[in-house]
Amino acid sequence: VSNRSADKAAVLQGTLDLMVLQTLDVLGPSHGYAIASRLEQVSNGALQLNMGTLYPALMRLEQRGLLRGTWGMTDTNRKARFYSLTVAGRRELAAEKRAWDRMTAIMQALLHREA
Amino acid sequence: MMRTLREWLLRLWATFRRRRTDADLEQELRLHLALAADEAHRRGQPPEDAERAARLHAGGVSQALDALRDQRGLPWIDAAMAGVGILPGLVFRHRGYFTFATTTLAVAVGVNLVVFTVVNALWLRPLPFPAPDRVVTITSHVYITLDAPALRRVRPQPFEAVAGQVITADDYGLGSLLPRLVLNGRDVETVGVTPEYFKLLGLAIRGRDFTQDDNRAGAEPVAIISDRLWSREFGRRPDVVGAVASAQPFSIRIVGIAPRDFEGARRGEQTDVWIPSNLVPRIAPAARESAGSLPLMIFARLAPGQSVADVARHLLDVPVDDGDRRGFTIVPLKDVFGTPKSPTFVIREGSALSVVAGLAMLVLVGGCATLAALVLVHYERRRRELAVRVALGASRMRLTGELSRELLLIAVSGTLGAVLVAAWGLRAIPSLSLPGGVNLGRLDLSIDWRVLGAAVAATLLTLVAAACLPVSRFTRASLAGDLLAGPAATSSAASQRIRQMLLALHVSATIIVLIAAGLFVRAVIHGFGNAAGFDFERTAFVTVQVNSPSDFSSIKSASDWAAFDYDRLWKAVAARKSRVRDALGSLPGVIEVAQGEPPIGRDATMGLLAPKVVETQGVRRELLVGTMSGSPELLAALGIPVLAGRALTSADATAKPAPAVVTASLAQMLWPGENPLGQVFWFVRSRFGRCQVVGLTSDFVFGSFARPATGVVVTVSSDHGGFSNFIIRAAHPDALVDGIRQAAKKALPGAPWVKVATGREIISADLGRQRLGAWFFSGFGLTALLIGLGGVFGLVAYLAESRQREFGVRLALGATPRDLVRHSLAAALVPVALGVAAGLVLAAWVARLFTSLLTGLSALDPLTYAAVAMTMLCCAASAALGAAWRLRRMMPADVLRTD
Repeated sequence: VSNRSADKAAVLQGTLDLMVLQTLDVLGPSHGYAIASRLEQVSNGALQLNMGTLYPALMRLEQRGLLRGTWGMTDTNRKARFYSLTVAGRRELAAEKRAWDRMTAIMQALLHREA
Repeated sequence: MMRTLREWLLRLWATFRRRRTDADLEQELRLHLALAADEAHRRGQPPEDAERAARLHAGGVSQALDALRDQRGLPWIDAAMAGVGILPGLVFRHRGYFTFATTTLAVAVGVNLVVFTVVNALWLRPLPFPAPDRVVTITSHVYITLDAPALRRVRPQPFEAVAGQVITADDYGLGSLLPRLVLNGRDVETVGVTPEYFKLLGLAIRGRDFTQDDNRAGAEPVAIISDRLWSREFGRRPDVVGAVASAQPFSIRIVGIAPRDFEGARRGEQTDVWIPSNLVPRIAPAARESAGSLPLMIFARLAPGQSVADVARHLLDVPVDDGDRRGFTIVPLKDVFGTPKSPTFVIREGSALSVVAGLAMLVLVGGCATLAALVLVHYERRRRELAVRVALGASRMRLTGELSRELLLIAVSGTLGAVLVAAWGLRAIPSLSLPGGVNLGRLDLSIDWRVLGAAVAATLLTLVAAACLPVSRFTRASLAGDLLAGPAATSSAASQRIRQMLLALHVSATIIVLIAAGLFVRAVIHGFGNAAGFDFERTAFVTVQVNSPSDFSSIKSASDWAAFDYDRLWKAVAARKSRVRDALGSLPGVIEVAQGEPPIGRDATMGLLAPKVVETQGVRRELLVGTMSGSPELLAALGIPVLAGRALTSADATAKPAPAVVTASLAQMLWPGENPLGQVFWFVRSRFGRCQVVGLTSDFVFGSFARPATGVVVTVSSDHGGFSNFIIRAAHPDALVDGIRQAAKKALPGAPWVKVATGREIISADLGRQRLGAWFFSGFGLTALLIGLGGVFGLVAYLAESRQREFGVRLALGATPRDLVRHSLAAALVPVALGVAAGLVLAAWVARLFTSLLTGLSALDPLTYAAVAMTMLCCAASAALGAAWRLRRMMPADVLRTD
């Protein structure tokens, strides 16, 4: 994560995996650049993942059996590695989303409820 | 949890077998950059700006690749493997250092391993039966049997149990009593024991033990076999117990099997079959002729509360059958070595064991000191290289890891080398003929892994300790200084001091070992020099059995002894002796033949077990006096000159008081300041009658070098014994040995036994322990010297080299090359001299521990000390000179330019 400028959001510890899984769920099989672009677009440029952060995360998720990587061709006829969710990845995404929703609800209540 | 485990397993797998190569990863990253650049270009940036923006946005490929590699495998295993990969190159680059360090380690640890394995086999390994400390062997100058009345008279009876084993070596000149039993076509090592043997040792027999019935005349031949024989010949079949085994010369019933690992009571025995002692005469021809009483080695288990020292003192005062007060000696069984063919040899002498072990440790200490110095010097030389790497960003952890791997490589290869050295040494040792009849091939010389573990731990500690200084450097910020100066130009004062200390330590250790070796070698040389006092180089000793069983054929029962015609026997024996003597005298090269026993050897030593009380002029003195008697030519045959008075004559055999020749020092002790000639003396409580001094001889060793008599009395006697001893004086006795044996056999065709030993052989046997010591310590000394010289040479050379910068400044300031050579010599020799001084003091202290073994030599023998000190100083000086020689051509500008 680029942390050189204050207006760029730091990726919350442990949320990168969830973001990658969700992006792949939405986009379907995608290469690394597409994932990074999608995250940047969704966050309005606040999330700029550099390669040193994104690709080790993809490899980690693949090693855990949540993603599957295969080589294919892009629209512009370039050889790229496409990542897709595995069944375990979908299960993990669902579980992580539930946990995230619960946590955000707790945080919301904690931070904004009036006495 | 399972996912994390899967991730780690995949990473571990990927460490060794990569599914995704670096090229594969890089291709993915480069595509990312290309797509980012395309995007920037689409937004209107020129192509070159677009690429730059993409790199800024997405980060560098190499950093991302590093992060991916870390994620792909397990980085620390990767680093270790990469380190192992570069080791061969590193070893080649520093091959001198690695070779010397590995060799030093291999030799120092290997020698220790050999020594401690031998020491363990000879002394330390417990005997294979319960409470071995309480089991002793009892010997006497006459052979004893279990029912020896003298032993039974001892009160209070100090023994819980007594047993015997037939002596099979020709200790008593009876000829070999070695039983020869052939089982399944193979000779098996057999000993005869009394029925109490296994009970005394506390061993449980599988099957049954011997009983008194087994030892009766006419009993069925029975045997107990060893576990080894049971495995080898009978495949551990249980039905062997009770079965009759077909053997030669007769079949034998196996009644029991001895416990595993038990092969005999003494170290060195490898017995396969034990038989009742009375069965021995049936399979040992010589035993048949020993008229029924077999010489026994007596084993006894001390009663509770009795100590070996108390019992030994007690037994020494017990008279045996000749009335002399020179009874029995007692030795703990763990301290003896013996084989069926060699006599029992006492292998413990005071603190010799601790000295041997201590000196072996010193070799290890010396090796460790050299190793530590080498490591220091090596990293001192590599300071600049390491400083550059730290400056280029190598982490301290990485450098420390690399250093650990190098040290581990030395430790592992050194240990492997040590095992090879030890394996070779332990294979070579049994083939060496060690003095004293110690045949190491009969001991279990398997490598003692505990010793290897301890030695390797010591060397690892040394390596780690020596590596502490370079490691501490990595953690300090002084590397800039190292970068500025040359590699050898800046050795720190601390490192110099440590190296000098190590040099001194090594020199001390080497000096101690060399002095111990030197003292033993000198003691042996001294023994072979003039110390014997008689002309052993021109003497041979012959023992012939002149009686034969047929002489006693008229004896059918005990009552027949009373009517036995002794006079006829004496005459026959005298005639036979005369024949042998004439035959020996007619051999070419023989100068003189006399009747008499050798002054050095078992019989003479046994005669000196206790002092004799000598009475002269009404005064009694207790002295360790030796007595010799034989024909009048005895002294001439030994080459001992008569200094005053007259030589003995044949007429002296019957004269009263018996004319005697005494040694000069005995005369000085008995009659100080008086003329000894004509003086009369006698030995109190002895059958030796009154003697009158008729002559005086020079002193000579009687008994043994280790415990010689303080004086000797020589008389003429007519010998009626069944054995006859001759002393032959010849120009070259070595060449005559076979001739002597043949001549004796020819003169007495029926003689069952002839034994010939040259003077040199007798002295060699007597100096057994000293020669054993000389063997051991010379081995240590040579090893220590080799390691030491290599160490001294390297260290001294480095000391000179490490001061190059200082020398450059001195040259620039006007010093001459000769001054530099002198200066570097002095700088190197000071620690060596300190080491020599400390070594000499410590060696003097160590030598006190084995003074008793240094026959006729002081533990502070100045010649040995001076020679060793000079050798060490000369070696160090030549090493320093060799190293300093290069300084002659040193140009100040060249040296200072390296700064």
